[in-house]
Amino acid sequence: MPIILRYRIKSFFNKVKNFNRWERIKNFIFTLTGIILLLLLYLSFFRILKYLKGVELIGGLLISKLSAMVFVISFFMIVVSSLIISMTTLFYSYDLKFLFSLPLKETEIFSDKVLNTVFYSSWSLMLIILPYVVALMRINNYSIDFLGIFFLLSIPYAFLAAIIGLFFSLLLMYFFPNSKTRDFIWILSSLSFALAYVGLRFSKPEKLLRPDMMGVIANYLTYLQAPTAPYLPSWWLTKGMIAYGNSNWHSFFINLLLLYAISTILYLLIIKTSQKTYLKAFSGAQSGSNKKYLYRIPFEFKISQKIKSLKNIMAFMYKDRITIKRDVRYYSQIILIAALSMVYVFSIRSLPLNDSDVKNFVSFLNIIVVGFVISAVALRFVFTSVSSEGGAVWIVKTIPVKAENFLFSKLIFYFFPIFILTMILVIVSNLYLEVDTFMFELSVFASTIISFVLCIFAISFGAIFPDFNIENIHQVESSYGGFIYMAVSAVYCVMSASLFSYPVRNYFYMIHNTNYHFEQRAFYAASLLFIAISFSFSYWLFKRAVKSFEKIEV
Amino acid sequence: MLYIKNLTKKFGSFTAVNNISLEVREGEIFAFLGPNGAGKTTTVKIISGILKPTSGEIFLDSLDVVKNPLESKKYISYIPDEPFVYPYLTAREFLKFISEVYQIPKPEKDINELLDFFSLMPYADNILSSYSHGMRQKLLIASVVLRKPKIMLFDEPTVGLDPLSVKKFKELIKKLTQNGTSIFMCTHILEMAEKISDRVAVLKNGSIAAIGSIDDILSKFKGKDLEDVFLDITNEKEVLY
Repeated sequence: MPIILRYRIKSFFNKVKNFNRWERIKNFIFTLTGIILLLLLYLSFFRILKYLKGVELIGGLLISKLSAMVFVISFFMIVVSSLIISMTTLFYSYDLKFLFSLPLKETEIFSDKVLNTVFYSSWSLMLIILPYVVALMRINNYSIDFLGIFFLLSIPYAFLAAIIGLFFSLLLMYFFPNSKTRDFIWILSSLSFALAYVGLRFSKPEKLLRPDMMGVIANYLTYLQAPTAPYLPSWWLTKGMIAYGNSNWHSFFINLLLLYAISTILYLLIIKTSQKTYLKAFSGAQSGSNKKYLYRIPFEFKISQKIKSLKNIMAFMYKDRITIKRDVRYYSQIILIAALSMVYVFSIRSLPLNDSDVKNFVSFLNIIVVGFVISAVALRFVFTSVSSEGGAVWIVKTIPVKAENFLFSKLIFYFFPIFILTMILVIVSNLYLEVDTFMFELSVFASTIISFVLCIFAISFGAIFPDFNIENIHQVESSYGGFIYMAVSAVYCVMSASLFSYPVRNYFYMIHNTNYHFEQRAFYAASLLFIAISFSFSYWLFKRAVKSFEKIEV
Repeated sequence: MLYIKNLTKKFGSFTAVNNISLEVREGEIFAFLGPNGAGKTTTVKIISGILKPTSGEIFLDSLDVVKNPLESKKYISYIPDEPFVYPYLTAREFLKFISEVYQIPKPEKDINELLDFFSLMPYADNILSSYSHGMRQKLLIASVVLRKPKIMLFDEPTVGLDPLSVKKFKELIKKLTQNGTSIFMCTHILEMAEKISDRVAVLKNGSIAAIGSIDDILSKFKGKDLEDVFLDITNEKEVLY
């Protein structure tokens, strides 16, 4: 076993061994919640697969097609994840300078970072796919060794996907050591990926899943039988698993061989490439930007000159704004979020809905779905904002600024973009759905409160579960704090919509029965209860976060 | 000025600082010496408000530092041994940020003077991620001078500084003490402690092993220099042989 990996494993076990009581409890709760969520996922997948299996004649084909789609999507997600993570692991890890000072070969350091990237970019996705595979195993009555086969095939599959991202980062850093050009290429690549994603969605792939839109049923069957992205490892994984399930050993071994052979070739190729490129790319990454930024009085300071009590809040808002403006890593994620929003709205527009009741109902459900989307965006930007202070958190702890002002500055700073994104998703969806005024106003009202509350949740959980020693901010997102934040946010979004279920039902009755009167009082009561629960819980959580942040010792 | 009474800090069952008491007088340079892991950094972190003490009291004049952390942070400044700063701000922007937080009126002239004094002016508008360790350290020293605190806490302040900057730093803190500012400095550099400090304390295993002026301490160990005395007190001699 390579020496760096050996000590990495050793330090992991030391960490686990030295957990204090509170850390053990936290990890236990985290694991338990994780298992429950995986179980829920399994049940959902099982239901979907059971339904598909029940479709006459083509049940098996549908399941194969769905599996192929699940694996192709996961493949691209690992590629993107590796692209983002590898920039840090290859060039900015804390231990790199130390490792380069040791008498180790560059390839040893590089291969350690490759393993790191493969692990961090794929483990959570593979964990989420696991319930799907278990459901697949149950529905087809496969034996337990099917799971083992999945592990066997998924290792080279994840490896291949991650190596694509690694190759991109390595070559980008090698060919563009100048930070300005590199930033430009990085943004351009993100933009290209986002455009490809939007383009793919705009081509309406759902048409292919609906036989009525295919014209001839034979076309549909041909589509189902055709491979999905046959030149991608995801197809080899799908085929390998199906072949194993059907005891088609020839096909199974071919695909197993393909996965392992290509991943080995690519691994050897990237190692070979790294021998000539890694050191130069690493050196280039260490050189800072020489760009001059001429100082002009920022608008935050102009505000604080007029309102003295806002001085501290404005100072931190200024610092955060400048950081996001100059850190190009944020740009790619903002571009991807913009693409995601376009696809979201387009998907709403593409829904085959003709009935106004259904449209109104979709608008109501959209409150929950937008809430989920906003939670995910806030997880990336808002939840991580406290931890992103990193080593400089000592500044916050030693200056005369109240913890609540520090956290409040982050809340104000992040709320406005989150609110705008929420409104775009809700209002444009409602316009496409042509919903009634009541549903329009209700969804805008509920989503406004939800977006604010989700920001408070994100800041608060971020302050309760901070990590100032991380190399990569994405590690904070996948921490137990991030997990708890997402779980609480999901419960809150569902609860918010369910509070309005009675008034909404009343509204539907009223539309279909002219003698039925809409119960205004019930609507106001639901609204008040919604506001009361939202703000009292948020207030309590924020206060808890302030106390927790004050207690942090760095 | 600064009074520390029976200060103790425990991390679980480990006692990092064990019942220490000391006083730092107005305009005094107080050097805090000790081997690695003696509790020096923990002590300054407690004074600066980053850590909470397990027991004991700290007073800045009559102000209870532990009970009034926010108020006391207006008068205490701290520079850690690792100069982490906001990487995407320029030096000038960082100093403006500090002056906003401390509500320093019209800081531009002072900022320019400090940048010039620390030879940072040519890089004043470059982002801090492009700065070396020493440059960041100089910027942080500039930031504490800018806010004119009553007491400055330094943890290994000259690590990473070039010889000219070390000289400038020594001159600067001498000048600051003449205006009444007190300096509390953790250091391994015995030569610097000997040359510029008024009093020293030697910390060993979280407790104060010796305290007083350099002359007082040396007089107890006749014929020995501070290095030998330090090694004697901290029982580190055996490590050398």
